[in-house]
Amino acid sequence: MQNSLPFSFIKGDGYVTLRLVGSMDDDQIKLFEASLALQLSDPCPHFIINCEHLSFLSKGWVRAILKLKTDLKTYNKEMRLILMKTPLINQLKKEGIDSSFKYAAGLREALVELGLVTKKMLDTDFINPFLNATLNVLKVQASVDAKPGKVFVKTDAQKSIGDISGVIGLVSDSFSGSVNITFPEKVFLEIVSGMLGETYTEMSQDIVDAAGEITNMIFGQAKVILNEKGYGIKTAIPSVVCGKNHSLETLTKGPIVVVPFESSKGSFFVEICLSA
Amino acid sequence: MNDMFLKFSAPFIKSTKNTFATMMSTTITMHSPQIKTDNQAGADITALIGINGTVTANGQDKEFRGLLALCFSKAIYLKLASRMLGEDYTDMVPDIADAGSEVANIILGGSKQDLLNMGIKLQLTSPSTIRGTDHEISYPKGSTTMRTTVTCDLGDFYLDLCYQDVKF
Repeated sequence: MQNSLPFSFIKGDGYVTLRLVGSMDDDQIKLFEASLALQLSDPCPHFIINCEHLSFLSKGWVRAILKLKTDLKTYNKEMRLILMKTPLINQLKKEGIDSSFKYAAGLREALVELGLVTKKMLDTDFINPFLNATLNVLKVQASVDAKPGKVFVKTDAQKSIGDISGVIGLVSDSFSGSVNITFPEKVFLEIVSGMLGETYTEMSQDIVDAAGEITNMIFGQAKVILNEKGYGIKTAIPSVVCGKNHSLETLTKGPIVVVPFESSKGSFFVEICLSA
Repeated sequence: MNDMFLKFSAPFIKSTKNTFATMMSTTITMHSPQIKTDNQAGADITALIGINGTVTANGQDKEFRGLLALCFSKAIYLKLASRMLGEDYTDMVPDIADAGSEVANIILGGSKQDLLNMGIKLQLTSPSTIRGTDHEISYPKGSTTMRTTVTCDLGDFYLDLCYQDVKF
């Protein structure tokens, strides 16, 4: 139901992301103001307005958003417009109202400006979507119940060894990184057997394809959740690596976080790294 | 092979030549590129960098995704790392673990300006190094991978360029 509307609210910790999408009809402003009223109760959150999929704002909508700004002021809260596209910025400039709004490059920057987070890159807000997507995909596709273990930061001496991995690079305007998911062969064969309803005992093209599908689904789901929040992530081409006992190392200035998983089929892990 | 594809690859090839000339003081020869149809990386060590970019054509921005991979056998990797760092390495040690991804990073960094002149903006992901005797790498369906065999005085290695959604 929410999806058919040009706006949606996503709750965060101390803030709400308001996502505006596509063509916004003036008829829907009343509905927007009504839904907004529900959000504006005590304790009122800060507002992050995700403009990633927005290229034009009608006068009516500009007024509605300016009103939101005034309303927030009474609660001593602020709002930030993030992921603004050039056409939208130009439009606001042309109408001479650009100075009424505060922009930030992305969610992270906005939250830092609002004093909600300190300037660190990798936190649960970023990691959890990958964690949940992994659990969800394995549950839905292969009926495997997995449980995440204690997340830790990888040190130089630690090697990540596995037999089959999905690797994907991430970029946004403000950071770059990569995410790997690595399985031992035995564990992965059992997961795929559960997924395709056939028993596989050795590696084959089917298994590699399945690995591509699974990692694509995990990365895809996590990306949707992160981008709804306003991270503005783009993914590079995912690839699947097979090879007995291969290791994966990422060249990064930032930390590498490892999430180990335990499942009924065995253990595997996900590695996430980000740097500015 | 599509002409645009070749034109698009030219900056990477040029930058690879420059990188090897400056970093390894070696002249490389590129064999004619082939479309890759199997998953064999033919390598023990692969350095991988994801590319996300936008092409500006006819006043419109179009997005594309890609990947650059350098695939080395262990023997040539050791030789290249020794040459690059000026030490004699005979085994994989932590010191040279990142050498491959450094090279890939420099290649992509060096191709940025030429690509920009063509109206292509690049964003690079963090490079990864895959290590494993004779591992395989598969790219998703719908992408095209071009493999170029590169010869230098130290031996042969491969340069893979993989593209998706490139429309001009």
